[in-house]
Amino acid sequence: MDAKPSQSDPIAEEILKKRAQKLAQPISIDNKYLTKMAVVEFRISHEIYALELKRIRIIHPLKELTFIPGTPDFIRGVINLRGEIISVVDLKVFFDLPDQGFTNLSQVIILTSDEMEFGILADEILGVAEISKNDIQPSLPTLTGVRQEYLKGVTGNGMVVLDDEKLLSDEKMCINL
Amino acid sequence: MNNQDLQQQLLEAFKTEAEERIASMFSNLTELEKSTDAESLGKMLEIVYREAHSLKGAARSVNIIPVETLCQEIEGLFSKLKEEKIIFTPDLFDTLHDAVGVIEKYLSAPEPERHNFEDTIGELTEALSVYKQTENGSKRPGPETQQKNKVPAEQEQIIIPETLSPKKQSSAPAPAQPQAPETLEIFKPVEDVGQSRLSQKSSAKTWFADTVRISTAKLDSLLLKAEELITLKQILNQHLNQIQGTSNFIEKWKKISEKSKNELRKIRLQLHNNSLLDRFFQLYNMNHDQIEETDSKINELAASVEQSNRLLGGMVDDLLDEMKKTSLLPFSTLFSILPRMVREISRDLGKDVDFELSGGDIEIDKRILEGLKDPLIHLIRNAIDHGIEMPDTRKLKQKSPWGKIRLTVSQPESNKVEITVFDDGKGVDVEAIRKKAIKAGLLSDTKATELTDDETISLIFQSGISTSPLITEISGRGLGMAIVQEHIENLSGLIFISTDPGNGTTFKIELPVSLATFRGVIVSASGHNYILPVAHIEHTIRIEPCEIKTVENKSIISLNEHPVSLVALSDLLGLPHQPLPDTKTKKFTMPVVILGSSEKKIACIVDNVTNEQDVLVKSLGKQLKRIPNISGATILGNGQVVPILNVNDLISISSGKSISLTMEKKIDMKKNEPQKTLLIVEDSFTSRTLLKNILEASGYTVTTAIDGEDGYQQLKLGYYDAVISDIEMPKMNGFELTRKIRETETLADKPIILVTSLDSRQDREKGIDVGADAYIVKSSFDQNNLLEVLERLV
Repeated sequence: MDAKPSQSDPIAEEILKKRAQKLAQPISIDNKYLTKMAVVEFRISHEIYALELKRIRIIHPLKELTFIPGTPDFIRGVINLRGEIISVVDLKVFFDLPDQGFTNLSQVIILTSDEMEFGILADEILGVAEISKNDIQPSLPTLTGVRQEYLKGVTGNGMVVLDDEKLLSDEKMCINL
Repeated sequence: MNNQDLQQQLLEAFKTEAEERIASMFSNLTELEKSTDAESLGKMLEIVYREAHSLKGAARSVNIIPVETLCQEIEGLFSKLKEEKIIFTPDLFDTLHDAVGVIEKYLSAPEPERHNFEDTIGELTEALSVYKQTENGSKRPGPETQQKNKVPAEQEQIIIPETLSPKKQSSAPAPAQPQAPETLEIFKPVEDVGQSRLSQKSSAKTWFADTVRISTAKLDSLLLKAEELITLKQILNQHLNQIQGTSNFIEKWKKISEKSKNELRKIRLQLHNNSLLDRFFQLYNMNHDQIEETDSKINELAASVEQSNRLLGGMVDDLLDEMKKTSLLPFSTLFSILPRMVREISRDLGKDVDFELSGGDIEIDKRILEGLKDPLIHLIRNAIDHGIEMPDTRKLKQKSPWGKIRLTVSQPESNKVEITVFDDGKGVDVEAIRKKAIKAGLLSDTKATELTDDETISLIFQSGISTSPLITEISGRGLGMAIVQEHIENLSGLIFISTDPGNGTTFKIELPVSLATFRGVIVSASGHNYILPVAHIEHTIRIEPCEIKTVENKSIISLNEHPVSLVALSDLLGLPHQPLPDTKTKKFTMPVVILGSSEKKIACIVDNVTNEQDVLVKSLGKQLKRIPNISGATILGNGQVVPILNVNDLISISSGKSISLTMEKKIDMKKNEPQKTLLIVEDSFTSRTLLKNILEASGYTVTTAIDGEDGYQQLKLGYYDAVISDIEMPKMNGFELTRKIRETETLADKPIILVTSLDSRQDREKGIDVGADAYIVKSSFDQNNLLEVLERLV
């Protein structure tokens, strides 16, 4: 399976050039904002994810999950957070990722905005870190599919940085049946 | 705080203020239009004038120029109206309504779209300024004002109702009035003018004296925290129980110790002068003293915990009660939108409507008020569209050309609110409903004649029935009343209709004051718990599989000789079925909850019905806006979240559904599972009946025999899964019977249980020798023992 075009093929070269232009993005050095951001790093099965701190209300150990019939599969249920009921999302299902074997979803990261609030299930919280925005690569060929649109990018060491604003404002996340 | 933040905050504040002022202007304009009473006229003029003035100022401070200019025109116009230099004309009212309307539209539009309204604002500003200049102010309707027109001086024209007693009014303008507007501002009434003036004055004063504006978000979070205290209360209760348990335990220990002490004393008397025993006795006494000490200490602790428990419980309950009151809002907040709506609809339809509101100061849960908005709007629309006749028709019927619609709110009980919507229109045509219902297939011809008029009228709550022959934009589609009823029922309310043909229709709505708690029953389906509101449960029964019948492919059960369709809760919720409980030896029954909402009823199979309790409704959070079949959730004392089922949804999705095939198969298997048959051989009538009852209650089919010989004959004639026999009997005793059974080839392996009062080793051995499978002594006889043995053997 050799998909490589021969070097003398001008059409192929043109296509490649266009593709490269399309993919190429200017390196953004935005001085208005800090180039560092604080994130919570967590693990879902064997992948490491990060979420910016500013939209995280609290991280809570998962105790009892109540199943709500009639909800989409990615809503795993609701929890009781000090007298308040909050729905909990399984990102693996939401992202339509293949079953990645053993998980022990034991932590809930609660994301919040004025209009939306839900918890994200994680296997393990790894801690808080500061990452440089410049370090986030916009895309990685392995991370295609549904997940792509909810990512800010991937860091150099392979951590998947989720787009909190996108997750919170996404219509698919709002269940109004 | 930087400038941008400040600006943003100002804009937010302006928006809230503008909403209130616009609502007030609308309702007062509407009132002004129909009022003829000079005193209230002046008062309302003053209000609109003030509101326009304040809104102008507010708009200026946030730099919204178009609104400012338009308000300025309105203000100017009203100042002339007050001076009676111009008078109201219907055109002017329309223009004013349009003007206030466009301000509202302008402000509620998102910033980039606002410029769309600027032209209209410009036109209206122009129009108003034209009105202002054409001073037609020679007369105003009403005799009183006509007299006053003679007085030209400006300040003498201002009518100041609050400071004028009715007596003084005849002696005309009081001195020292130029400052009047300022005086009036203090008495600025609340938005709704629909109620009697007296009550308004008082409420206006308290409004300013005692009110603080708090964002609902803050209040909600306070309420949440107060509710959490319930859990704390329950935990404390649990601790108290534990302490009391420990105390009981120590009490017992003390008694044992005392008993031992007495025995030890006797031993010491028998073995006197034993120094070792003396030492032991000494140690023992020390120990006993400690126990007594502990006992009294723990009793003290239990008493004080109990006391604080009671104290805390009371405080938590009080706090919650008070907190719930903070989520109550007066009806006047809802009333403010209605007059304008009535005005618009009646104008569109060419009808004259006099709209009366009362009870605006009665308070109700904010959520109920929000939920009431649509149904009330619908009822009022219906009243104008279907109820009130055209002015000409009314005149022919010798009615006042002005139709009357009255919305009354009252509070007959402290936790109940009653709303009536009355119109003096033509009433509901019962015959028309009957015909429509037959046409829509809701009634058979014969049944239609059986129904009373009241029952027939109630049919308008069913969808597909409207008496309006014409489908208009406003009403006539026949869906409305069904939706109104559903909304009201979702608020745990009830709605009734009564009509007097030719003289009008009255709708009565009954609602609870607070939505926060209701009685609910916990049921389970497929291993999950759910809550059903008691208000929607008619009965809870147990049915046997054989009671389920199939009619036209639907399962039904008969309830008081009426067929009710049967569904399984797990099917309705789309849950996988759990195996039915293992009831090999017992009669299999299923708990069924009969759910009702208005006319419709369904029977719903559940796994289990547990207890009934007070349920505090909570929302499912921001993400789960609406889920079919589920209206919210509650948190139980142990912290478990339990979803609350929406019975209206369940009933509507159940239509056309039946028990799923898998469920049916399982039930069928149970149905075909043969019941176990037993033979009881016992000579005593009492013992025989007792045993029979116990075993039948556990689901066995029981036959009896009066002695061994009779028993043996019966055994040969029929099939039995087991034999239970007494020993001492005439003719043939239990041992002989057992031996004989064992000797008969066809019966040799039949399980035999001997139940007897003979409790000696020999007898037991003899029983086993002759081949009994079990030997139960009557003195130790408890039914569980027998049932257990049976279950093992059969």
